[in-house]
Formats: sequence, structure tokens, C-alpha cells
Amino acid sequence: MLDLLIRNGLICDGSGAPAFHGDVGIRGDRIVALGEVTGPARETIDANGLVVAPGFIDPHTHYDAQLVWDGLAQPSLEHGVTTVMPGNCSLSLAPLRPEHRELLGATFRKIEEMPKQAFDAGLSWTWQTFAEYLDAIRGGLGVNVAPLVGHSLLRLWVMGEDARERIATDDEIAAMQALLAECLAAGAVGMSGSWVDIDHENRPVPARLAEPRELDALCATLGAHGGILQIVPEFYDADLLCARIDLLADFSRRHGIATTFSPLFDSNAAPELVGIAMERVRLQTAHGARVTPQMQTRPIDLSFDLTAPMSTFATLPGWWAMTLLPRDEKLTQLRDPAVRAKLMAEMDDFWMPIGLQIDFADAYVKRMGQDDPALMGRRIGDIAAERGCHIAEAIIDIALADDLATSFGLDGIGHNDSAKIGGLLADPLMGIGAGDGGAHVTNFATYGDTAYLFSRYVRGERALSLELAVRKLTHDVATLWGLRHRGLLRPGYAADLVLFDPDTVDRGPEIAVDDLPGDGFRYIRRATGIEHVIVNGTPAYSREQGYTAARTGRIAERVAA
Amino acid sequence: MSTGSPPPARRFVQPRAGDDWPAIAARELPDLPQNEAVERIKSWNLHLVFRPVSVITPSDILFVEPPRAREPVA
Repeated sequence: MLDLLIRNGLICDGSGAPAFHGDVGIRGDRIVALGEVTGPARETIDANGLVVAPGFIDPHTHYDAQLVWDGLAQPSLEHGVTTVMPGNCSLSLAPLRPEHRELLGATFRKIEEMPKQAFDAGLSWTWQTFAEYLDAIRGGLGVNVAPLVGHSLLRLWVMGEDARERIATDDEIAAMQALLAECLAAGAVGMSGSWVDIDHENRPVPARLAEPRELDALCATLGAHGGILQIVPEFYDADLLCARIDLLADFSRRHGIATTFSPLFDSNAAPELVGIAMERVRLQTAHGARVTPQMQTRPIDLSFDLTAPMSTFATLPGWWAMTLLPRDEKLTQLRDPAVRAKLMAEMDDFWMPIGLQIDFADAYVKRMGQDDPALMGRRIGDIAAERGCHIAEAIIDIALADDLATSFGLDGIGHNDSAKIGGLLADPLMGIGAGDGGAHVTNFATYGDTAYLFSRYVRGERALSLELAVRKLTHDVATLWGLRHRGLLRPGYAADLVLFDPDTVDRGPEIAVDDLPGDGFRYIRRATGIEHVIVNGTPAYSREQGYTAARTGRIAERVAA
Repeated sequence: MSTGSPPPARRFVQPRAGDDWPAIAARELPDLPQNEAVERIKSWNLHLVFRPVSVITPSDILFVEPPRAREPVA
């Protein structure tokens, strides 16, 4: 007898082959039959009118912390994501010695923009080794997890705080290789690095202090164990990005590893950049390298306020310093004419070093402590013109009048040319990812990119077929990352499935929810058109009933080298 | 499929331990007077010169030639 039978669905099996009408039979945690399936089942789901696809795999998340208090990785699971990769960008939460928790926590929170109170209230830090971290999250998992170990963490463990200061010795490199091998044996699918990130003290993250020979040695270890290398390059500069693609290609060829970089982001600030990078990827692929860019499907909708430093203020040192002030001093400073003049001057000279095109006049009042109908939703440039003041003054005065509780929005940053983005997403060499789930939680909602792929680029632009879109989110990711028996609907494969309405699947509007530990809020997007999500054979979510009590997520197995 | 490395889009090196601008300039542009070599190398690497924290890290990219002209994007 089957445990679960899904009947009469449009089977989109993840391979890219044409979809067909049929059934899926599941026993235990495995798919056992596909096609016309007969026989009794303990539970049957009628999938008439629905697409039945492998569960989506999200290769770029920062769920490392959230998985400790939320093994469902909400709201990713309700968007049909059944496997997530945390640990990107050189930062995981293990292996980590107790004396480095504060340092790593501050670094993680700064780069991934997470509230300190959520970290403090949500993390119990019961682990030191990578295996112990996985043990800490394993029991509560509702999604599968294919974790990366961060290069910065390997350095911190082996070198202590010297990891932030200097290159490694031969012995230290050997110790890092051994530690990486230990993490891979415990369940890591690869290692992550960064060539751009700076920590909470504006210092390069430890991974950036590595000489080329250190990274090469670690890639040799990845090659010996079948792990992938993920890294953040200078994605905002074409020449630098091409040089990084060349380095990744060399690692790939020399050690037989897959490499992936994220993000690849299209902005009107440098409209030629993505095309140049893809030509370089094409050339290196023709020369035998595996270098896969990751591109997100959506523009960025940013939020900022004056209570904490955010990436929006990265090149506005006066604004950055102001947000760090104690509350009373901040209020005093924001009323000081000399300080206000300095902040205005800074905003006049604003430039964004990471290739985003931002105009603060286009910001709008997004969220207020005390809603003011005369201001909510209105453009700052218009309010400033009405008041006869500078846009910086408008931002400051609105925030002051609202006890600093106002959030300002900046929507639609980048990815503005849908025809161009659609073509890029459909490119066989382009990976879909870089969504950043679990990070930047008070700055923008990083969820629903998968649904947006279907609503915007399958239904809207018709840039991808349904089958190709599903393949891009499933089999292609599983293959690149070496996940065993995931990403396809095949007998013997893990029964990770998503059932969705192809005519209505979409992401909902960005909303603020108060579900962070420590009473913090975050921005999320709910799913529409996702009817059922099944993880390892067990229903984990349905549109009608919401999340179930099932916790059948696993640490995803890697195909051995 | 070729398995060798294609030529770089723009020639670059990575810093050696203890490198500073004069050391890099002397190594990469040995035929130029030091001051001129330093200024030239810096002009090709404004991403390092103008970064918020002025430090060269061992993982950085150092270009050793000027940007190449590109065909305009259609």
C-alpha cells in the first residue's frame, strides 16, 4: 500500500521534459511510482488542475540562525522550497569556539542585517563543531538543509583572532583543510567565501585575508570530497567580476570542483555588466570550467529607518554614525542645525558603490509607529517639495515626529528590464538563486522569488516555459550542488514535492510580521497558488491548513566525490 | 572543448605578503621610475585606492594594465 498518492496532476518532473498528466505514488520518504498509478493509498491528494513538481531548492540563504528557532524556514516552505542552503558568503554559525561567538555574531548581524535582539533571544549556542550545529537543528527541521561551511569560520577556529589580521602559515592551512574535511564529512555540501564583505568594524572578513594558495588548498580539499565552492565577488564591476570568474574557473579546472558566485545583479547603473560577465562565463565553460552565476528573479525593494545602520547608508558615514548613537543623543543630533546640514550635504553627494541606482527622493513613507494618512505611502521628494525643505530634512523630520519609528521604502531597485532579465534567467548557464532568505530581515522581504519566476517570467514575459522554470529551481540546482536523489520526480528519489496552480502562483505583497525572537519584526511575503508542499513524503504545508506539525526535513545528502 | 585557461579579459595579479604600492609597482612596472609606476598602478586600481578602509588584502585583484576598450552594448 502507498502512504500517499497524488492523482491527476500535471507532472513537471524537473528534467525539463514536457509535462504530462499523471499520478505520483509515495511510500515512506521516497517516490515509488510515477505515471498512471493504481492501488490503495493511506492518503490521496487530488491534484486536478495543479502542477506537481519536485520541491524547489534555494541555493542562497542565510537561514543559519533562523533554523535554530524555526526549522520550517518560514515563509520559504510555503513558497514550495523544500531544501535550503545556508552558510553562504563565508559565514556559517559553525565551527565556532565560545570565545568567538560575540565576534561572529556581530559580523553576521552586520553583513546579513539581522537584529541583535533576535540573535540574543533565539540562539542558545549549544554547539562548537559543525556536526554539533547540525545536531542542534536536525530534530526540528521541516525543510531539508544542505549547509555550506564558511571560510571565515574555518580561519577563526584555526587562527583565532589572527584570522582577521594576517595570512595563514603552512600548518594553519593544513589545519583548515583537515577542518573542512571534517565539516564535509559531518554534512556540509561545500565551502563559502567572500571577496567583498566587511565586518561590523569595517574590516575585511577573515576569508579575505587568505592568500590565493590558501583558497587553492581548500579547493583541493573540496575536490577530494566532492564539495562546491560558493563565493561573493565584486559583482558591481565588470573587470573585477571577469577576473574573479577567471579565478573560479582555474579552481574548477585544477581541482575538478563546481563553483558558483552570487549575486549577478542587473542595474541601470551598469547595464552592460551582466552581459560581459555572462560572456566570460561562456568562455570559461567552453574551456572546461564549472562556474555558475546565481541571479535573483526580482528587483530589490529596500526599507530603511534611522534606528540602526543599514547597507543603504554604507557610503553615508555621517548617517551611518548617527544611526549608531544612543537614542537620546541621536534625537539631539537630529535637531542640531549643523548636524542636519552635514547630513544634507552627504545625501547630495550620495553614490552607491555596489552598482545600485538609488535616489532618496524616490523613497516613500512605508511604515509608521503612528500612522499619518497625510504621509503614508507618499514620495519623499514630493513631501520635501511641499515643505520647501531638503529631502534629508524631510526624512529626518518625519522620523522625529514619529519617535523614529518610521520606515522608508525604496522599491524596484535593479532588474528593471524584464525582457533582458527573462532572457538571462532562461540562459542554460545561469543559475537562479541569490535570494538571501533569512537575511536583511528588516530591510526587504527576500521570499517568493520562486513564485515571481512563474508569475513574471513564465506567465507574464513568457521567457521560460513552465518545464524550464521548474528545472531551473530543482534539477539544475541539485546537479550543481551534488545533492543525492533530489530535484527530480523519479522512483527512488526523495518525495519532496510542490503542488501549485500555474495560473495563480505568485508572491504576495511585502508585509511586516512580528515573529522574530526578542519581539522583533521582519518583512516577508506570503505565497499564493501553492496548494501543497510535501517534504520527504509527509505533507508539510497546505494552502487550506497552513503548516502541519511534521518535521521531516533532513540534512541533505551529497553525492560523494 | 579546450581545457586550458583563456587569456584574461584584463591582466591582473594578486598581492604578495607584505605588499604595498611601491613594492607592487616595482615588480609589475620595473622599467618606470618608482613614483610614476606607483601612480600608474594606482590609476588602474581605483577600487583599492578609494575603498572605505584603505588596505590591500591578499585576496584582492590588482590590475596591471589599463581597462580595455569594449564594443558598445547593442
